[in-house]
Amino acid sequence: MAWLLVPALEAADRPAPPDQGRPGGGDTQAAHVEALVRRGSLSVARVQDDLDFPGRRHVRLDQRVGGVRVFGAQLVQQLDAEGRTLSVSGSIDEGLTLDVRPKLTAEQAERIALQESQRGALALVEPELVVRAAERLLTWTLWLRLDHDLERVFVDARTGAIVDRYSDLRTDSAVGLGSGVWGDQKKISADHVGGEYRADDRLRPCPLTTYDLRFNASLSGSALATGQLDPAWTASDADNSWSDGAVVDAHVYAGWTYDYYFKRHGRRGIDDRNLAVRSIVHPLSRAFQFANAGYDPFANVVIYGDGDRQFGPFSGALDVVAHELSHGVTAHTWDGIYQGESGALNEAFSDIMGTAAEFFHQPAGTGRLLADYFLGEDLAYRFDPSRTGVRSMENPGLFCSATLGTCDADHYAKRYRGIADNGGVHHNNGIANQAFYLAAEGGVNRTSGRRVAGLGSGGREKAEHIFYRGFTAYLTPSASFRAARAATLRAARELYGEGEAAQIAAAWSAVGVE
Amino acid sequence: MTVALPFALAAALAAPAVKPKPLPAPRRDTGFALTLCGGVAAVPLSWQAPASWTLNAETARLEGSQEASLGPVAEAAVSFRFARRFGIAAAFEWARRDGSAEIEAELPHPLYLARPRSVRGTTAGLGYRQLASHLDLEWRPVRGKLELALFAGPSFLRVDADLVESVTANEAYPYDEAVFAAAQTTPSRSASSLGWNAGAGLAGAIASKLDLGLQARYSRVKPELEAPGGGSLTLTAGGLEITAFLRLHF
Repeated sequence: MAWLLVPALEAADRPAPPDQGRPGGGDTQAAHVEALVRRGSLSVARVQDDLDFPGRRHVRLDQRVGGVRVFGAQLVQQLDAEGRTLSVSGSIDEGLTLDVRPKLTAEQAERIALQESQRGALALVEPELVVRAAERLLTWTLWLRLDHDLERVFVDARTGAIVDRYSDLRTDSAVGLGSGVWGDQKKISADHVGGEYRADDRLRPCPLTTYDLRFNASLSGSALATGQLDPAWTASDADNSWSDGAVVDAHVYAGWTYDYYFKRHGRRGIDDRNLAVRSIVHPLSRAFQFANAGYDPFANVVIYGDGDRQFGPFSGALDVVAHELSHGVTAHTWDGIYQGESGALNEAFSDIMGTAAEFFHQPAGTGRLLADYFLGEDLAYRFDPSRTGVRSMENPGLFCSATLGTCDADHYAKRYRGIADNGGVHHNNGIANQAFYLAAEGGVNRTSGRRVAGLGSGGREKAEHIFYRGFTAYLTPSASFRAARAATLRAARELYGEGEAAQIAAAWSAVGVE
Repeated sequence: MTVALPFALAAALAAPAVKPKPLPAPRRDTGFALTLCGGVAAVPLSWQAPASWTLNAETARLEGSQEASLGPVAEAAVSFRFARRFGIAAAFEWARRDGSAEIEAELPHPLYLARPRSVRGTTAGLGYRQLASHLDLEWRPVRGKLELALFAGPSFLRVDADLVESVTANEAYPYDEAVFAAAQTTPSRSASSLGWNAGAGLAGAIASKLDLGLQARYSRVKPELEAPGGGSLTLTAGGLEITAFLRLHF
């Protein structure tokens, strides 16, 4: 038996950063694969884009004998953007030959499978003729729906004997229950592997994984430096009843953010192509008092600190999680330069989407885990939003910075002009935040005294659509506040009409952006 | 109304259009008889069958309106006439019906707590069998070649029924809606109980020791079955059965 065992190249098993691919590394293997394709021994089963490394593709090739698929025999060819082979992995039996003319028809095989199964069994799809390489057998295979099972059955295509049958009910997706940072119960979508449950969501369309670095700073450094996260670091639980609040909230809120973007804006994740969502919790020792969260566009990870004496783990607030992931959305759309006005708009977009996701999933109100226009109000151990929140969209000036010597701006005239905080990206975002608030809810700007009627009934949802479209479709990396006004006005006209556009204009005018 | 039919048929049997030589009316003061019956369970049975099971880390619930339709009945009875107009009978009966169910279920969302999706569907092919024994006191007046029987007494009935245990649904992200796909049933659940029965029959002699007749029997028994997911459910079993019979006198 001549087995073609194709060892995977390094790049196939451990993805390198985008610029470290090894074009041409599989030239010999590629030529051999192409020869097999020409002979009809391999056929393309599926082509998948590499979501981690844009431009790369994975081509899955089924082995065939006389045109009949060899069950389970497949090669995966990794190609770069130019179509050069980076790696080939998998194994096939090149010496396999077999008479592939069945004596039984598909209908006869189905009848046999049903006769040999429990009462009420139901054949789900047409039987497929496949070769079983190990036994050198030509078989019909089909799925049967049983009372509490999904069974895969193989019927010898010549003798009618049942060659193999096994449960094909995938139990890898497992819905568990988790207790969040603040003790609230929520569902957690996990993966069941090797007897334990891992924070790897198999229910949503995008890969969504949460990694627990167990307070190990060197692991965190390595992860951020290389963008590579070892699957062994995936957060896990023995019984799918999760009690690590930081893990639960990071994982669940990332899913809720995906849901918000999908349901409200029809967006499929960070890059609209289901790019993996990767979250890191417990990145540093608690002694570091890491009271922050951040999105790293290079590594494509969101990292959540464990807080300090005042704040709990930073994954414990939905608006914070959605804020960070929205930076990913920005990075894959208008990619606002993180400095000056564009940086402030970058922050504002995340604040707006973070708040919108909060209102989408949580009931409105004043209290922990209720939706409001404070940012990060659920982070503090002592719940007192006006003191321990991070920002306010309704009244940005409520929060002041000793470092910058100023309060968050609610008007363009009050914008921070210094160089700290990248030109005040976390302070001047208050201007756009206030514009969004006034458009959504109506009200008076405290600095200009100008009143805005707002978008009225359903105003917040309209404002979300307008700001999402305005920012993601029309802003450019160096956008200014004036550009943001023009972009959202255009979006309002396109989506709703002049009446709504007038309210958007009034909101920007109230915050001094003309 | 349903009882009138067998009487009419029996009358027709007893009075054929051409009767060259009438049989003498048999005299049956006492004695044993063996009766073999075949017919139909004439009225469908229905009952509510709730069930619950764990799905997506919450409790899924369903309310099934199950129905057991018409089906075949077979019965064998031994009777003893201990007086001119009175007798006792012990009857053993087997009946089978085809079951179906209309189902409404609440299926927990896989991603969110307390956000169930409603699905509705129907399923068929549910098994239903009953075995019954009846002990009856009979009043059996004879008029010429016709014999009327009115009877009543206790019944002991055992039911074997498939119950809807859970449902599966077709769903896709974002899973806010689900569409009924199939119902899963329990292995047949059994329960027995005591009840009562009553009925009437009309027979005509077709030979000196052989009668042909029709019988209507109504029985009512309420066995308690173990409900899927816990608890119990009571169904009203028995019902009206119409059978034709041959009776051999000894």
